[in-house]
Amino acid sequence: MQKRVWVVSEKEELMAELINGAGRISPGAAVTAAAVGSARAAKVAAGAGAGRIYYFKLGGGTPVEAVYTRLAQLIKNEGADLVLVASTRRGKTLAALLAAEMDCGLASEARIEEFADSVKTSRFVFGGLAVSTDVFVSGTPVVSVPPLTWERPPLVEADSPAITEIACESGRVRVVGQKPREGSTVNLEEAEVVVSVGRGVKRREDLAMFEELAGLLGGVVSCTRPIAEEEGYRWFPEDFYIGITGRTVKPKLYILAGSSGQIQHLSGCRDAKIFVGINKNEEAPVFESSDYGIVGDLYQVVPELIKQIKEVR
Amino acid sequence: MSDDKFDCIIVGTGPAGSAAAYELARRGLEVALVEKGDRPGCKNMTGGRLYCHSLRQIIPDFWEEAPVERRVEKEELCFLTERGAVTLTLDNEALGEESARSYTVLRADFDAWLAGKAEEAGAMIVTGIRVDDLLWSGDRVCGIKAGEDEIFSDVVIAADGVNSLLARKAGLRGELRPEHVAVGVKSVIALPKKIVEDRFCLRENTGAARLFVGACTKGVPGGGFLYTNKESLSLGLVFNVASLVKAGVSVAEAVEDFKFHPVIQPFVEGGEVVEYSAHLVPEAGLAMKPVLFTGGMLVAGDAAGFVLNTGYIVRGMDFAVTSGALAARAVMAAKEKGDFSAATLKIYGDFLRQSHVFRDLETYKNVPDLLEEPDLYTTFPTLAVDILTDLFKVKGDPPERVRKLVMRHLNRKKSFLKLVKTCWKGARSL
Amino acid sequence: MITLRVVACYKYVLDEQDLRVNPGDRSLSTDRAAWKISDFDRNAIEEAVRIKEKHGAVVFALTAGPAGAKASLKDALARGSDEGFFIQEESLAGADPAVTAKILARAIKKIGSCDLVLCGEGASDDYAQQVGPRVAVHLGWPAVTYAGKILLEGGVLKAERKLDDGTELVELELPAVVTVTGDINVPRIPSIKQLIGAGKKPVQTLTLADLGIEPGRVASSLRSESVKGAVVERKRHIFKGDTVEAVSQLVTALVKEGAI
Ligand SMILES: Cc1cc2nc3c(=O)[nH]c(=O)nc-3n(C[C@H](O)[C@H](O)[C@H](O)COP(=O)(O)OP(=O)(O)OC[C@H]3O[C@@H](n4cnc5c(N)ncnc54)[C@H](O)[C@@H]3O)c2cc1C
Ligand SMILES: Cc1cc2nc3c(=O)[nH]c(=O)nc-3n(C[C@H](O)[C@H](O)[C@H](O)COP(=O)(O)OP(=O)(O)OC[C@H]3O[C@@H](n4cnc5c(N)ncnc54)[C@H](O)[C@@H]3O)c2cc1C
Ligand SMILES: Nc1ncnc2c1ncn2[C@@H]1O[C@H](COP(=O)(O)O)[C@@H](O)[C@H]1O
Repeated sequence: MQKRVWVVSEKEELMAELINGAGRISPGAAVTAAAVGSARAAKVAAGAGAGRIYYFKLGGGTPVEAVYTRLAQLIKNEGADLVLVASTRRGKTLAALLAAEMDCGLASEARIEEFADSVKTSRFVFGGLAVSTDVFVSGTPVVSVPPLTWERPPLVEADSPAITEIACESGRVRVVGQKPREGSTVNLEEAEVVVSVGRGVKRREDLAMFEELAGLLGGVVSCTRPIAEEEGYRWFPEDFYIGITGRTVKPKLYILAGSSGQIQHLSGCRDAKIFVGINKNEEAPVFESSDYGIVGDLYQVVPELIKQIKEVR
Repeated sequence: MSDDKFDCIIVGTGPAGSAAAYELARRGLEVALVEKGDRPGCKNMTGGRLYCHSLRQIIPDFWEEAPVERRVEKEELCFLTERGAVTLTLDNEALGEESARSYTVLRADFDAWLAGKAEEAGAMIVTGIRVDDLLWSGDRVCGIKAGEDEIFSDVVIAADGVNSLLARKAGLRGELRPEHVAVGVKSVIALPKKIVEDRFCLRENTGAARLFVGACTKGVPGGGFLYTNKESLSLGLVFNVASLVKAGVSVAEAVEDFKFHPVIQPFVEGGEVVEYSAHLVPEAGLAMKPVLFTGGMLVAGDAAGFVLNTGYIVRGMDFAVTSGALAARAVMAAKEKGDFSAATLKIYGDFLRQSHVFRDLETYKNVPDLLEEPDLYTTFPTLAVDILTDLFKVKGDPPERVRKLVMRHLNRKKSFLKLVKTCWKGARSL
Repeated sequence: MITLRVVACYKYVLDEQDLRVNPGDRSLSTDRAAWKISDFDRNAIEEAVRIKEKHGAVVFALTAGPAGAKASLKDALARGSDEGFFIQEESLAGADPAVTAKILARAIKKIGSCDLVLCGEGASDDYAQQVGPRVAVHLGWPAVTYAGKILLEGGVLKAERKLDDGTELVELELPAVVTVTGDINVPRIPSIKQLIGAGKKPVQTLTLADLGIEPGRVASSLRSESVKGAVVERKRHIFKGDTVEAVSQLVTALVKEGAI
């Protein structure tokens, strides 16, 4: 029989991706879209062929998550076989609130393995060391889905009578300000070569040598989480690090220097074709998961590497 | 107890420290047991063979509850040459008799258990803290310093291992001398239970202990060991440090060669190394014994150099347990008197003299010297292997009388003389 | 001034660094693995303690798990919490966050008249990022997630949320549930005095029954089918020694692979 799938997002491109995905896992599914705080996302949902669309128009200072009670009611009333939420940080929080409100299970940042009588999902646990496969045995399955799980169709905006607007006024949490992140123009996800640095790099200036290396190889420079986030570093935009909680890359060549290579980082680059680790400590876990590794001081190894690459060119 | 004053602070959660803490805590004393590792046992390594006689004095039938691996009922002594070996095997259930039994143990688990017993008994265990120094009032130790914090106590027991920082800080002993210590390296190699039992022909829960003399230490005084655990093997080497340095032998290399020695390789085949560690072993016995006490302080276990290395047996844990327990007894005695001066604590020395600790170390005091004999590691193993090889090889050549054959080998490189000399020396030391 | 009552929720987890994948069936072997207070939960505890230092508060450390998890309270208390609450429930090993959240919400009610509940952004083991918001729903309180900075002014809490596209500044009245990111603070390492002190702080151990929860009410709606290692096999050619030599070996290899 025809499945009823709800897709929820505050971002238009993710909305389109989810609707596309819903079609993939259950061709001909009846898709209801909840576009939170973005009229454009609602139009994109219409363009992508959602049968019914709710546009949650957020009053000033109302956070995305505030819609969860209202959304829960709608889903309860209209019924759903699966609820997909795009897993931005807002999305993940909304999903958790929603699932609690509906007293349902939630698989966070999971992929759908099976969508028949029951829903089976798989997700990384232990920082990416293992995959946990779970089956929903009761309640409405709610799943938050990582971006780029399915490919994104070109965004088509359409005005449609199917769009119902629901005004949502601030709950108890008031948004009083936004600081958009200085969007890095670099596209990590597409990069063929990624050179990442970790705490082994002493000074910010030293990044220059990695820029040069990346430049030589036509790649980009990224980093581990502490380098982007931690007091005393913050050398990169906060969303620019690789790993389970950061970006996922699939380059031909991945070079990781001055990083212990903890699993949480590695799970962001597990699909790299060739992995090179550089660390002065022979015992560092990074060598466990390197195709090629050099035990040595990056301050000697990297300049030498640059020199020799120039030679072979 | 006033907010940070204990009756006794014990440094180190090895067998010595935990035994002492257990004995004191169960008699109602306020005890703090301080360990630099994140967990008791996490920093410790050992060949992992525990002779039970001493611990069972404190916790009868402890093996019923302790995480012991296998009861050793097969003893093997193996003389190694580059490619061959002559092995003596003793199979005897009698080895498992309660009074004499020994178990293989994995220290991470065993130390955690023993420390846990002390905690149950009421001791306060503090891990992840490195003790940096002692506190003094006059000529008397009155507590410890860790980072910025000072913690006070009537008495401190230094059970902080072979390198004992505290014994040195107290001036009870100097720096370790290379000739007084051996370095031990050990890997734990995981194998399925069934395979362990098959390869060593063991019944469930019984184990084998193999000690090696000869080529494995590349001529350096020392030896090798291979112990069976439930689902792993402990394979290791012990080298006298001074000679190691002289001979310029690479430990890492020796370990690899040992693993791939034709006699060892079949046992460890297919196993995964899940743990590798190196640690010092005091081995000069009484020769390196520090002053064992001073006002407000006692030294126990490896910190006091209480290890017996006879070449075919390495014993330290049982000495550690006994000396820890006796240190506790001394503290009790001092507490009764309400006097923790050196004069009272000196009773610790008397307790030790009446115990197996001094008796054993006394008996074997010349062994370290015997073990210096280079021939033990080269000439004799070769001799044994060559003679037996010729005996068992059948090539169809005209047979040689056994006596003649043996003498021929013995006359090589004055082997005979050396053998007689060493046997005599051995007879005197053992 | 009325002192705040702050609850820091933490999960006692296996240290993922110690886990290894069994070559055969890719199952996880945990026997050599140590337990730890989940990474970001140490930030949650630290933040609670900083609030205490700044505004005066009683900090309750709350964890739910199998008997073994009780050992963690000493650590949690040494980090500056005043009282420990341990909810002992064997089935919580590897439980569904939905179940955990219901139990924690009950426990927080039991602790009574709390003003603020702090959680980590996600637990190091399942990183589900659910328990915090779910607890808020069960308590009927507002939730703020991924807080990288929090400020208390009277009964008003101001938080800076670290989100994918930037930061979001929010305000709300207490009581509330807040989940914190790893960079909100740098947790202090307990000193020996704190560790010794921890031994003397009160700890309450409660069962589901004590919380008035009949087992049926917290059944999970997810059934775990398997947890399998997901490690990628790599070649592991490691070059050491002379830098120039090592680098040229690497470059040769990369050229052969057509990577450069
Ligand atoms: C739930 C959770 C999620 C996480 N998510 C992520 C994530 O998505 N991404 C991420 O990156 N991390 C993540 N982390 C953190 C992760 O666990 C590690 O702590 C972090 O990746 C370590 O960063 P690092 O390797 O740069 O620093 P370190 O671990 O400190 O490593 C520094 C390394 O540099 C080496 N070194 C030092 N000097 C030199 C030199 N001169 N030459 C060569 N080598 C040198 C040292 O030997 C050391 O190995 C997460 C943690 C948790 C708990
Ligand atoms: C390779 C090898 C094989 C061996 N084989 C055997 C065998 O088969 N049978 C046997 O009985 N014995 C064996 N031994 C000897 C045995 O391991 C030791 O004698 C025994 O562990 C001594 O116990 P201990 O409690 O005195 O010291 P340890 O076990 O060394 O414990 C000392 C503890 O103190 C802690 N510590 C040190 N300094 C500080 C500080 N400043 N602050 C806080 N904590 C500190 C350490 O972390 C450690 O946990 C072997 C030893 C080696 C190295
Ligand atoms: N068993 C538990 N006991 C106490 N707090 C928990 C427990 N499980 C999760 N938490 C808290 O909830 C946060 C998020 O957990 P999770 O939703 O599993 O990622 C953790 O960082 C903890 O602060």
